[in-house]
Amino acid sequence: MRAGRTVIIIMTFALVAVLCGCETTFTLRQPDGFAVYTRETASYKAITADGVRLRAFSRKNEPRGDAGMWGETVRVSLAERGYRLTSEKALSGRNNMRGKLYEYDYWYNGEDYRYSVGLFVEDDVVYIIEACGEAASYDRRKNDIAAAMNSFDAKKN
Amino acid sequence: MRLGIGILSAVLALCLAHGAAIAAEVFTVQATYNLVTPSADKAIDALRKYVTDRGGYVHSYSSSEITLRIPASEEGNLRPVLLRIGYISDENIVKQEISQALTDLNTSLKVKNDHLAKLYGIFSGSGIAETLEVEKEIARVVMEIENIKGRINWYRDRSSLSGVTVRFYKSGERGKPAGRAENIVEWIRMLGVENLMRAY
Repeated sequence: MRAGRTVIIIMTFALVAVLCGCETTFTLRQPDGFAVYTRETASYKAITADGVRLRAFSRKNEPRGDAGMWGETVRVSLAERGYRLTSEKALSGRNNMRGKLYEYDYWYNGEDYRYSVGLFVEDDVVYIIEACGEAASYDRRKNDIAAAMNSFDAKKN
Repeated sequence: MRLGIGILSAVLALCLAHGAAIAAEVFTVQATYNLVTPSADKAIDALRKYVTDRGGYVHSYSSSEITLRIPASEEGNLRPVLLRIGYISDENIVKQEISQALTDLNTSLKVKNDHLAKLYGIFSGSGIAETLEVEKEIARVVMEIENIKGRINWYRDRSSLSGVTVRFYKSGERGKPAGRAENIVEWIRMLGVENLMRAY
């Protein structure tokens, strides 16, 4: 296994601790070619040399809903903003975590862009993983991004 | 039996008349959009290309606004194009029915043309004393006819090409009104390419 794929980034979310009264950590496998912003503490952020971005963060599950409800909410919101849904897939994180992945085409700044958002819901926390980039750059890393999302794991401490 | 056929004919005639009335309906459309976009320049370039590719033209533009004239048949396709460029924070579409105005103008034109033909008849048979008066009347009627033709052409132009004004705003200048989904939680609003690009 290559070194780049073995790095496990563990982020502790103080914000979640405040919101939920509990501390939650999650792990996400770092995709090849991405550099991680290590000083960032409020969210996980990584970027490639050609500008493909990956971000993960969590929010309180309030009002309480499941992955389907939040997925539909995100889907409606993005559709209203001109995002064209191209695929909807199931995500399976570690420890049998089930999530949803929505992939979109979008026109940003006069260029064709790709945008994807993955959602995992566990009790009182919603985990959100987003990625975007210019279409050609994103397409080259699409599988790595999906693999990173499928490596997702969360733990309550 | 005769009564039945008579009623049927009357209903048929009414339907045909109604159909003709529907077919003759003519509209002008004037649309205004407020668009939140990261780059007005790129949006203007994209819209200029879009409108010229579809047989329309750019009426005017500045750094914050563009006014297009696009074929009426294409007006309905513009909204999805705008949504690819940015958020539509506000839109206003005014559709005005001008069939009656056009019918009135065409009727007036016919009456004036008939009147002009009669004047030419009088002119050819008039004596020297009457010629000057008839000439004046002909000049007046010709002017009225040209005026009516101009108005008809204006209405036809307006109905064949819709007017669309797009005003550009950057994110934060004029917030996009929250959609149904975004009313639920704040983080939904944070999603998307714009925020993700700004976050780095």
